Amino acid sequence: MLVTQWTLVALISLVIGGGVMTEWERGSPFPKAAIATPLITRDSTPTRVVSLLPSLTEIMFAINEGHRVIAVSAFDDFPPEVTTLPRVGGLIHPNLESIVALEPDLIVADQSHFVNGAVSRLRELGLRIEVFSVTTATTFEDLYQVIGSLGHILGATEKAKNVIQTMQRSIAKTRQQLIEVTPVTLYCELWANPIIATSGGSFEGHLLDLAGGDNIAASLAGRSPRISTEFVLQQDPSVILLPGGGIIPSLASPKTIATRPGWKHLQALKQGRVYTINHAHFARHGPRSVLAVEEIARLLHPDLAWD
Amino acid sequence: MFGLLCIMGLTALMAMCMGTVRISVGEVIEILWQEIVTSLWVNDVEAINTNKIIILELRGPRVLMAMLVGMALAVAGASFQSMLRNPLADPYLLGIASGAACGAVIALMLGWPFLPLAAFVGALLSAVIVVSIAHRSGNMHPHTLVLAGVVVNAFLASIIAVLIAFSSADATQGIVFWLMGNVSTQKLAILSTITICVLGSITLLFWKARNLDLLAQGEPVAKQLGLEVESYKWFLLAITSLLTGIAVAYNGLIGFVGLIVPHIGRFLFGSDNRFLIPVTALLGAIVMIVADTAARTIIAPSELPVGAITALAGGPFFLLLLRRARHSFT
Repeated sequence: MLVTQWTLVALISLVIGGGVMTEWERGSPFPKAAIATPLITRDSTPTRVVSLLPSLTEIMFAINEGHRVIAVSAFDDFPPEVTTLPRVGGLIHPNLESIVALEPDLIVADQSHFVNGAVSRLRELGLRIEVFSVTTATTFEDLYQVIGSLGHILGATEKAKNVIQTMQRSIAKTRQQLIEVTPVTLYCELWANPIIATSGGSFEGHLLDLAGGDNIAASLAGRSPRISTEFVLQQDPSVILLPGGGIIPSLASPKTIATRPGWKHLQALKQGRVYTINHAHFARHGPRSVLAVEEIARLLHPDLAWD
Repeated sequence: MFGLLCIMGLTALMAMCMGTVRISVGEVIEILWQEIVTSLWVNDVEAINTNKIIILELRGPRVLMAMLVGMALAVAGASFQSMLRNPLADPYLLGIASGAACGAVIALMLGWPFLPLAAFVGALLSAVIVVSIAHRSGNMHPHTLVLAGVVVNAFLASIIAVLIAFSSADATQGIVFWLMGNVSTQKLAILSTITICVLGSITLLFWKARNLDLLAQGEPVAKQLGLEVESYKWFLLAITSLLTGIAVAYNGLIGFVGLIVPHIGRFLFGSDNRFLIPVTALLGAIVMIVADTAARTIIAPSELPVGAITALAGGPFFLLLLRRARHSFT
């Protein structure tokens, strides 16, 4: 069985031809090891990288290795350079044909790409693909690991270290301001229809904690819990945060939230403390996540001496 | 009948006590009473507490909406079953709800404000299509009708799938969520319009219920007894499409209520439509309140789609019905 599988694999890679590298990694479909010990010893540094996740694109540009990126996902928009690059489809269904046609020597992907079989399909086609725990990251430590291993793979270990240190300094600076504050109760909405809150166990929840927030949905189960208006009314948070408020109809804006039945009675609405925050900084786990921490901290604690 | 009315009132009261925040029966009654009193005699009371907001602006409207949807779907189902002499007929099986959904999805995609109207037109169109397909083979055989309904249903479902494929990612999520069926909380103005439409339609059906009894005897018999069969059937189609359209437009697809509730009603009170229509209306309201309360409370503070709950409870019931129906059918 195994033998035929490997023969098939060899056959396919032969058919596909010389431009494609065959980097085979056996074992579990969820290689934790891929993060800690990237499998590159034989290859020279990849020069044709396809990124399937905006976060990974941003990290590569942050560590000055953006010139290696030849194609990105449909949702990439930062830094501006990527807008001219070819697109290889959405996050859920990357277009395998266009990826193969680009003859990449490395594809960087996220754990979520396992779900629909994209990773294994690309592996079967004999392409080298590295998978990182980006969307499943829950803390900055997880994110630093991703940056570190991506830096290692691209031969930019030092630069990756610098980026991590810059991020750590930024957070430390914000945290310094918040030493003596009492956390402010807040409700942070990820989606308007149905109403989905930011949970405690997610990276976004971690950002809220770091920014001196007391998330009313922190103890709810699941990464993106659906909640009822009753729950919000009962908790009556002081601040409501709306990442990307109003950029699409499914993200509520301060205006639309006021028209929901019952919401106008909330403290946050009465005192005008409903804020739109930068969606990319908040929701896209990457070097810019530290900006979200600072932005939220300033909104939650406007009385502190921010420079 | 009076007993059912009392049960409905009690169920509604209990439903308003339950939810993310538990509120005692006494407090619910007090809040409702106060509201009635203040709206009649006092104008400037502004002592707002959370429970009051929850009862008056969230749960109250939602329970009312659940009642209206239950009534609309159950009465539409009862009318279809009598009219088509088919125990399996309901707005969903016949593709009429899919028609409403299709109209509503188009309205959602194009951003039309007249979503309920689109749903009504969709419901009416699919009803006309299904009935006219079934009619082609001379008299309307129950099996032909169900078959036509299933085909139209599948066709409309694929149209919805295609429409979703063409809509943007965020619109898709909204549409899919809406299709699953959720009792929505609407503003008072909309609710009162819906109340008038639903109660008005049910009253009209009730008023003409004698004709429905005649029709249930079979069309030739009804004709011989002097019923204007064709015009009456159009009347029924228009009213049932309106009821289905309203229910679907505001709450998405909530299945099985229209199928099962009329059967419970018939089991309890016989098949005289003058009784059956008000009875199914009340029973439908009770069933929907219970289902929606379950949807709100089972995983509180999160919510389940109520369509999933009615289907979960209704599926086994439907199978039971099929088993029993075989004896009288074939």
